[in-house]
Amino acid sequence: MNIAQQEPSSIAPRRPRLSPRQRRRYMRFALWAIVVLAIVAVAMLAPSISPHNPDKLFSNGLTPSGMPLGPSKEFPLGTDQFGRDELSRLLWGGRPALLISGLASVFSSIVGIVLGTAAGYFGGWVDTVISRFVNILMSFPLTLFAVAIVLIVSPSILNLIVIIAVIYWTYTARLVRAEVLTLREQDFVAAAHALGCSPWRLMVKHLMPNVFDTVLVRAVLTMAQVFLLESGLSYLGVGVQPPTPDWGLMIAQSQNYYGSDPGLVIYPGLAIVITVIAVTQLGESYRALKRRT
Amino acid sequence: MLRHLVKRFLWSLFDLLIIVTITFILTYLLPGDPARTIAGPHATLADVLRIRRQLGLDAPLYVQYGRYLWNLVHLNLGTSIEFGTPVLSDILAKFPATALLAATGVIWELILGLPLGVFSAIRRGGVLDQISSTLSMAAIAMPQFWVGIILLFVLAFKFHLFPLGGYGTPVLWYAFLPGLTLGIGGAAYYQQLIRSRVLEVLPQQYIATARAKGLSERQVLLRHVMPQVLTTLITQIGMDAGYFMAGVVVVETVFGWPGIGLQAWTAIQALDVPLVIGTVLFGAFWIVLANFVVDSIYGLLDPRIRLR
Repeated sequence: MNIAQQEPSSIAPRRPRLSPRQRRRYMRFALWAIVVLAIVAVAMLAPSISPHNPDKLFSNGLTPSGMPLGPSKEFPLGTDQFGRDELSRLLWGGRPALLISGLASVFSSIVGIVLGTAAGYFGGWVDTVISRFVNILMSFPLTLFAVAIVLIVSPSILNLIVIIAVIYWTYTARLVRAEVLTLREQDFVAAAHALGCSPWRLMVKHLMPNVFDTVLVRAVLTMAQVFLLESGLSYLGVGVQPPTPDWGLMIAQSQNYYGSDPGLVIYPGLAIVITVIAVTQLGESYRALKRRT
Repeated sequence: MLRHLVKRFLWSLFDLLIIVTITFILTYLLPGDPARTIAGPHATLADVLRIRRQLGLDAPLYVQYGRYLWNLVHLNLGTSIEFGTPVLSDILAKFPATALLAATGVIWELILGLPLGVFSAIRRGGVLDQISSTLSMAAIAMPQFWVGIILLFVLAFKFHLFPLGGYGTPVLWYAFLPGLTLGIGGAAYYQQLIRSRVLEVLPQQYIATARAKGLSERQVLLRHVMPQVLTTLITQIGMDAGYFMAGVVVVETVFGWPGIGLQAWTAIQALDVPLVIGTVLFGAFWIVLANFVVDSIYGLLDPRIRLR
């Protein structure tokens, strides 16, 4: 690697031309990256771009009979059943789920890569203990387990992040372990070992960089799955608590108004679907990009 | 083969023991005093202490753990705080509905996922492939409760084709929409899984051989491609069945389907911890069982596994 970099640039072509297929993959990746960035940007800028305070109950936000309003100049997407501005709530509503899924995915990836590498590299009883524990955690019914723990520790955003990370690191660890098992047999690991590299250094400097792409893709897909899980928990009433605007919670609270005002259920649902598709496709397109064939 | 089975079985028992220990720790960590909850707001301190002694909550931790295990071995999952009935009988009473829903969900997964996956692989890049791949991308991203609400509204409320949730006769009519809601995400996953599996198998040499010896495409598909796909499929179906049996809280809640998931959700509202934890344990049991069965079948189908 270092030798190649020291060669004069006139000998080696500076950048190989991309094949049409590879160029299409870059385009696809860029497209989804832009969509995801846009969604994150909207969520982060919600305080400055939303037309109203999302929690404010407008006295003119309901019809005389107490029903939600349709779209108007003041409320572009109408109001919800409490007379709050629907557009503002939608702009704010992605924040809790994005925060929870983003951080839970980061934490679970860190734990997963460390324990997965250790299990794959050391083998023996370390592997047995970690793999057994992964198996056991995977045997809990996911939603029900999360619901039961939330019942015990009370549903704050921090608690949700920790609980979800505790469940999801297993998927990363399993993937990493499998990959480290094949990497371990390769010559560069034997060479590093022969040079007197400590196990810790070997794992951090030689094994982890090689599984990084796998973990990155897995982390992005985890984020999409956690996003769905979070919206489900909020729908069940054990996730984000009212009056915080959250897409899953908005659907739960408005479902009885579906007949008269379907938008209150459709809009937050579409927001969830678009976000999850964008995040999933970001991961998939990155994986395709790295395939190099 | 027998050795493989016994080994797997013992590991499953070990897993269950750890799972039980984790749920015990969870129960023990719980805030609030069950004795106080049972005694009610007007109870005297003496009453609370008496109930606490009755429940064995005054014993040291290891004694409580021992009793907990002893009770579990005797299929005693504790007593529901809300109903005062044994948790296991509450769960078993609601379980047939959940099992029916789980079966309907798996059937929907297969009806939708299997043909779409196979055909989009055979005509890769074709119209059907593009449509079904796009649909499955969207279906995987849809929250189940949202799909359920929309199906319920459009097909049941607007067009009166199906009942508005709940349970009744003919039962398949009531199970249609919840099953579809449950199966849609899985069907999308099956479409992707089977498509990629078939695409893996098609370029293999023995497929070319089968074609060269004059088999029709249909025969190649049924006799040489499908057996390969089936191994993958059985694993997945087994796991799905396990997960669905473990309780499908969201779908049951949306449709008011009287299964163990809805019961657990109601129990959460009532802070009925024994019932919630009991359902978690019951669900984990099904998943461990499904794992064991899938592994065993896999060992039967593929000798390489059991020799490891």
